[in-house]
Amino acid sequence: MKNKNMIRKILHFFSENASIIGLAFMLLVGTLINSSFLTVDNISNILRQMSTVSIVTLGMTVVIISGSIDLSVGSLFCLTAFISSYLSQYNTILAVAGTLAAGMAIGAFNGFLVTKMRIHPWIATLAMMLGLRGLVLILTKEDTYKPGVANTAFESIARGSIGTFLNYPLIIMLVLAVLFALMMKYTRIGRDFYVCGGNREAARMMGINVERAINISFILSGFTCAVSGIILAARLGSVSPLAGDGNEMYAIASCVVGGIYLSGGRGKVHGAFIGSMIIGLLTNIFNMQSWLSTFWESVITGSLVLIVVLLQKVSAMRAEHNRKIVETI
Amino acid sequence: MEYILEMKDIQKSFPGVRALDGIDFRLKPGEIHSLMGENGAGKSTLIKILTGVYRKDGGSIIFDGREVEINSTIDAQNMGISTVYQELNMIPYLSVGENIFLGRYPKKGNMIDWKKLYKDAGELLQGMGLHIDAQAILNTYGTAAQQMISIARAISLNCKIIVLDEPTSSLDTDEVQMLFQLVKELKEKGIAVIFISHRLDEIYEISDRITVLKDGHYEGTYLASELSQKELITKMIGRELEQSEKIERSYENSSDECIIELDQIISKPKLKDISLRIKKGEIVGLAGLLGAGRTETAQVIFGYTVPDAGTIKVKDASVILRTPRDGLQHKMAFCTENRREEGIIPNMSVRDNILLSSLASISRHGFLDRAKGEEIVNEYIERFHIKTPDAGQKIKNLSGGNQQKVILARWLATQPDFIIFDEPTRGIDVGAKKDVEILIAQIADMGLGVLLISSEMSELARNCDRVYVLRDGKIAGEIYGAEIRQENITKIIAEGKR
Repeated sequence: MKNKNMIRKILHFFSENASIIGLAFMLLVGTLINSSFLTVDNISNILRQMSTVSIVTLGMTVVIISGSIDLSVGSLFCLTAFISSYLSQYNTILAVAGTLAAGMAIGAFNGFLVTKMRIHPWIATLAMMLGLRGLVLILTKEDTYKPGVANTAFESIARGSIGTFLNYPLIIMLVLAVLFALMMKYTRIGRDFYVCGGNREAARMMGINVERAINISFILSGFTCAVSGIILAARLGSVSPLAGDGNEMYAIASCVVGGIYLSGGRGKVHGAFIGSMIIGLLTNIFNMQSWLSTFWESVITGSLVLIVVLLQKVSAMRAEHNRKIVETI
Repeated sequence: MEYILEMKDIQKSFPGVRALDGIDFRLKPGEIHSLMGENGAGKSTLIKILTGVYRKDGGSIIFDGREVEINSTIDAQNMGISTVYQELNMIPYLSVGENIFLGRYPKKGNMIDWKKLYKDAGELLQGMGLHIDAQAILNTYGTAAQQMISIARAISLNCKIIVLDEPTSSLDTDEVQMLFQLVKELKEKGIAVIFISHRLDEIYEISDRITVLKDGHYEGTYLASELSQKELITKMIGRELEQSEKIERSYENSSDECIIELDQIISKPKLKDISLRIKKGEIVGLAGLLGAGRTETAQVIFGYTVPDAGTIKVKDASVILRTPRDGLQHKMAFCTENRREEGIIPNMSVRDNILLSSLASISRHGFLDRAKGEEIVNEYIERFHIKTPDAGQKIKNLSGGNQQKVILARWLATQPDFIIFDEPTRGIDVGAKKDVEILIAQIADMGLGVLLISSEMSELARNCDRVYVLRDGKIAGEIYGAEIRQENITKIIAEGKR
């Protein structure tokens, strides 16, 4: 009896966290393909590489759970990278604080377009995606931007580490992931995001400030873009005007693979985080092997997204079938 | 203090419509008070004013002895007025417990205390006698359970008034009894319950008093024990002075051939036992209160919903209709009651709206035969006296009556044998109403079978050769020719048999 309960609990855990199985599978494939894959050195390196997209995914998760979408993250990521790189010539603290402020301000503007101007989030952030990308191209004069004076303190944000393997981007990513997960589960605003995405009309009727929640979700997305932008600029010491092109799609795909529903109100931060790990590993594994052309990576990512969504549909149908009926005592 | 709530002389207008005109409504603590009225009587508007969704234009609301202004749903909630809607206003993918305490999370420091939340929610549900797991996701429970959870939320908010807006419409008999048990417990706690339902038996089973509204007017408040069902129905739908002169017909039916025949149709949850037959050239009416299953019956005939049991025959051959396409294939047509949502394509021209359903028949090798289309369009515009400057006019610029005629033309262009009209004259002014009714008679005279659904008994009396009266998903009676009169229909609805 006890055993059965245990098995049921384990099964329940995995059906709720199917992405963990996906992650384990990716690790297995990686190990089989290349013996040096599962070394601390390589893993730490992979995690540093994927930290930028993973961090952006955290913001995207909040926005999607609130029932919107943010397509501008790729462009904003690049713009904030440029801003931080530019400001790093003068002062490291200014570079960090200024960039975070700029990212959040642009996030707030996205929120303004969606809540106050009542523009559909797809349209509002699509316009921002195009506009901001154009802005970066103008500011960089369509060429890779390199600050006049290299700032080693600034660059150490991405290049430094505690010990050999715990590099700063990895630490920033993990700390942010934990903070976001705690916020979503244990704070009023975190629950408001779920409520707004779950049933916006009901949220309004229950006195939840829907506009405020949506605004904050976009500000958080702007914030995560800025953090990623700083890491990118610090790591490379320069910014290509095309950096982060398509990142919005990787972030959305990470969310979907991690069990975040695009219809809003469902999904967990750790799921999205694992989703971004899976997609990040996919890239890395592809770069390590030589049998398949790297273009297959996109094909596989796309298929993965479809498979996850289909699985969700099947489980939704089963749930509909198994609706419980109450009995009175 | 005798009343917990007094609404006096409430006025509310929407552009072009006077929704409420001098409504009085008084509610005592610990009573179950039903609000009755047909579609458009003003029930929902009154409730929405009470719950802060709409603001009243005039009149006063006295709650708990003080005059109040209810400006938002939050105002209403803070005062202690909660609503359990037909469409549930909860968050499907959050847990039961969170839905109950939404926005009022217990906290430990700055963090939400989930343990306490689930403990409190569990105790609350237990106290109500419900076996519901507070940690389960809300959506894993069915409608009945979700409604009870919604009531649990209202109780936890310390509410004084609970509005139950058609809570039983999608519940089965056992679930209704469970709900009623819960409602009676609320009553014992001194909570006042406003109950809205279209099922007469339920109204009489649960209510202490009944307030009747009609066309935005106050008809009166009565003790349920002193108001007979027949009186109630007359107050809800009776119209004293309306001409019920028959519209002239010329069709003589000699054959006995049925175009449509339903035999013991069951379709959960609304239809329990429907058998009916419609012959060539006959106008058959469906009468009954809202929610009796009139529209659902039409939807079964047209293939909109597939029934759980029973047989459908089209011209004496058994058929299975799975989608409206099947209905079309069997030469049926369906003018729905929601003209705006299901009928017209507002931004398309009158011409395109007419031709929409018959594109195949005017196409040759996949290309539209414009001349032929134009011919059909002009024919119907002339025949139906559709008032439009030209066929290219966008249909949204036409009046309701003319839009209805366009829809009619569209269906007739498909050359059907059988046509369903669901509330064809709703929202149409009196003059155009007559036009539409004459058109329906003409259509039947062409030899088509017609099923006419209407809430206005005088309309059925004017138009129908035969009327089936529905009550609670069953055919309660059948009336012929000159017998089709308001009092006869009312009698069948009230008594459930003839």
